[in-house]
Amino acid sequence: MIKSMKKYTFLIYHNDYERFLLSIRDLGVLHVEEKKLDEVDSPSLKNALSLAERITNTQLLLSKYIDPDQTATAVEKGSLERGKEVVDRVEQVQKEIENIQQQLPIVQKEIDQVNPWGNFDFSSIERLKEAGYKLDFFICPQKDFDESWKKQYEVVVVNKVGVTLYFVIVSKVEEVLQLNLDAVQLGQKSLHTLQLAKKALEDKKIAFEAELQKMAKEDKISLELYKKKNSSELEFSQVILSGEKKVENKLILLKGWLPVEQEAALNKFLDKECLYYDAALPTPEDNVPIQLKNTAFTKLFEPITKMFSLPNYTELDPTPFLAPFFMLFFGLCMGDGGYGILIFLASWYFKKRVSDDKKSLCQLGQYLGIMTIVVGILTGSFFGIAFDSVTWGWLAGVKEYFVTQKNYGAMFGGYHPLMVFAIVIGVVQILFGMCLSAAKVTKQHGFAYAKSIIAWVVLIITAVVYFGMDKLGVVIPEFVNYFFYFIFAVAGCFIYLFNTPGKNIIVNIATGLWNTYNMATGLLGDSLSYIRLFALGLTGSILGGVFNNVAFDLTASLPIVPRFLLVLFILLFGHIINFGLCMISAFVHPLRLTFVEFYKNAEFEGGGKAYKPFKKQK
Amino acid sequence: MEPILLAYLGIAVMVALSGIGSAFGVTICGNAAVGALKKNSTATGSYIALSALPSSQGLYGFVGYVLLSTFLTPELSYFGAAAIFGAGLGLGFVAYFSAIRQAQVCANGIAAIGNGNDVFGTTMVLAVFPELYAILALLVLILISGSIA
Repeated sequence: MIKSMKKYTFLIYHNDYERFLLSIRDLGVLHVEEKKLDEVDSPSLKNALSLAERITNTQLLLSKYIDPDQTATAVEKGSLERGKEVVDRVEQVQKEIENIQQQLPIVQKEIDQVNPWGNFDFSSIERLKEAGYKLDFFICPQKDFDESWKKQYEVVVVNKVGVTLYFVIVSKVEEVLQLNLDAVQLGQKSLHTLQLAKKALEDKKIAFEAELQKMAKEDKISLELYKKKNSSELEFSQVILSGEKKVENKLILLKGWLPVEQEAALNKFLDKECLYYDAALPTPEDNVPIQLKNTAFTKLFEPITKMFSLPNYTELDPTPFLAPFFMLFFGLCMGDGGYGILIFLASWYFKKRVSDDKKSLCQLGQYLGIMTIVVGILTGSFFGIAFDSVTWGWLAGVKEYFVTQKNYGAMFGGYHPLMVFAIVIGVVQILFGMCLSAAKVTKQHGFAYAKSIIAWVVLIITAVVYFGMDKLGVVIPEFVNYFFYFIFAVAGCFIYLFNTPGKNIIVNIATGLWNTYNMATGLLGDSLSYIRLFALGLTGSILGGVFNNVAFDLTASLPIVPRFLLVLFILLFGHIINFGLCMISAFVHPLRLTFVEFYKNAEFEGGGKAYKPFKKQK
Repeated sequence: MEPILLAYLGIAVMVALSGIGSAFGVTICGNAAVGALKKNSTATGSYIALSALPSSQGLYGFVGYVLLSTFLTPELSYFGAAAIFGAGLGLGFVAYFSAIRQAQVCANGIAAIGNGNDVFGTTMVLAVFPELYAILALLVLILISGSIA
């Protein structure tokens, strides 16, 4: 259900504006109509947004340095000043680490260049030069080395790496060497100096990373405080800028929404204030914020509604209507009572151990688990064991009642009963969706516009009953036939002649024909889409059974102990994979049936924005 | 050629092509999801949901087999075998191409969500349009199985 909202418009004197907003924030019930961020040109807002991004980036960076083996030792209270220091320092440290990461390859390259020559002092080369001699460094592949050079010059082979020779030639400063090789130009730093430089950089990097780790461990609360403060200031700035300046900027016009049930609290505050305000009901053009109000059971399914879109204010909340179907579809897709027990137990176990915001997910898991157990009992499937095929004595009395092809196939013309059920439940959901569509159209435009939708529902149900009775061989008395024809005729009139009130008969007939085409193609396709519920349930059960057969048949010839271990391993491995695949399918396909087939027939519009009252952040 | 061989050829084409199409389809979406995760790691649920959509065609191939399996006996006539072969070819090819095209729609949706656009619901609806034709092919198979019966 959608909570009723009221629109409030305030005219506030500009000097009182901020004080008024602070009071409204303390009340925490008014959803202020804010301008979009890109419509607002404010340096302070841009700064706040930029700071919010910096804080988020800092938190993301520090999260990579959290050691999961160590427990957090966050400073108990934290402080805003420390939070600011951390953000600035982390950015500084990040820049330093990036610099080091740029310098390290350069230093490594220099080391690789000097390494083959070994560690020597470049000042020795300078002293040699002063004495009138120079040292030229050469590199060449061994096959290109000419032994005659050793006779011509003072060649000293320093190193051989693979097939590459590193050698120097000592010669007089004025001598020109006649070699078909270019001398290698080395830097002025020795290998030892470069290695020390590299170690220094690495140590610096380790120290910076240790500092980041320390901050990640100790300053989490300070960062959170700083983030909340900035977020609060950002929100306040946005709200301030949402007011429209009027009468030469002397008055500010502010609009907001609040649930009708909170009106008393706001009115009590407003009566003490010296300002003009107006309270009105929403108009069809308003984009009213949405707050859903559902029972404890239905509330669990609100995340599903929000995944697609919140309803707009003029339509119905689909959550209570999709909840039972989603549960049933989940159960059909999982299709195994054993997996249902696992889901229920896991949800029950984690419900006591997770944070408050995740408890509702665990509660939902329990309901879904229960539905899966029910489907498993009805179909006689537990951990891949088909109960209608086993020869266990304790099942002898109930085997024939399990809903399987073997027990009920003949009743449904050779078709699997679950396949028939899947299509039937699909048609039921589609017709239910059409009824919701009629209710929505009635709410929005009046009953006159919903008549043709109701006529379609009546026509389809009547046609199913009429042709179904004929197929089942039920003899229909003549007057009952005429009654059915009468219903068809009346429904036909509403479908073709009264579907668009206020328009002429030709428009109505044309619209009726278009709707007939959409109904014929859409209804067929939508109904058959529900066949996936049967297919997924059957696949899961069969796959589970296959793993059971593989486990026992493959190990039949082994001695008891190794057989037991191998069977356990295969069963665990197989059922875990099957369980995982079934879980994904059991969530996704009912979601798709809800969002596509159900929402399409219910003519769900969506587009609602969430009710978010302007209040202090905790 | 024995009628049963012709029938099983049809079944093989149906199951193989629909399964291959779904395999290609979920792979295309999975690749898009991995790329989108790099940009926006908070929407993993949406990526998984959209990636699973092209698996429907493989399911339809399986359902087709379940529906036709009762006719696969050594006494099957040429009429029945030809019908099964035709139905299998139809569903197999349509499911194959439908799965791949559906996956391309889903992959684009995943990429858009990765870029921060809120298009999950609309993508799910648009992805259904290529699937409609696989459903129609399944419907043809159901009608053909009815005519064999």
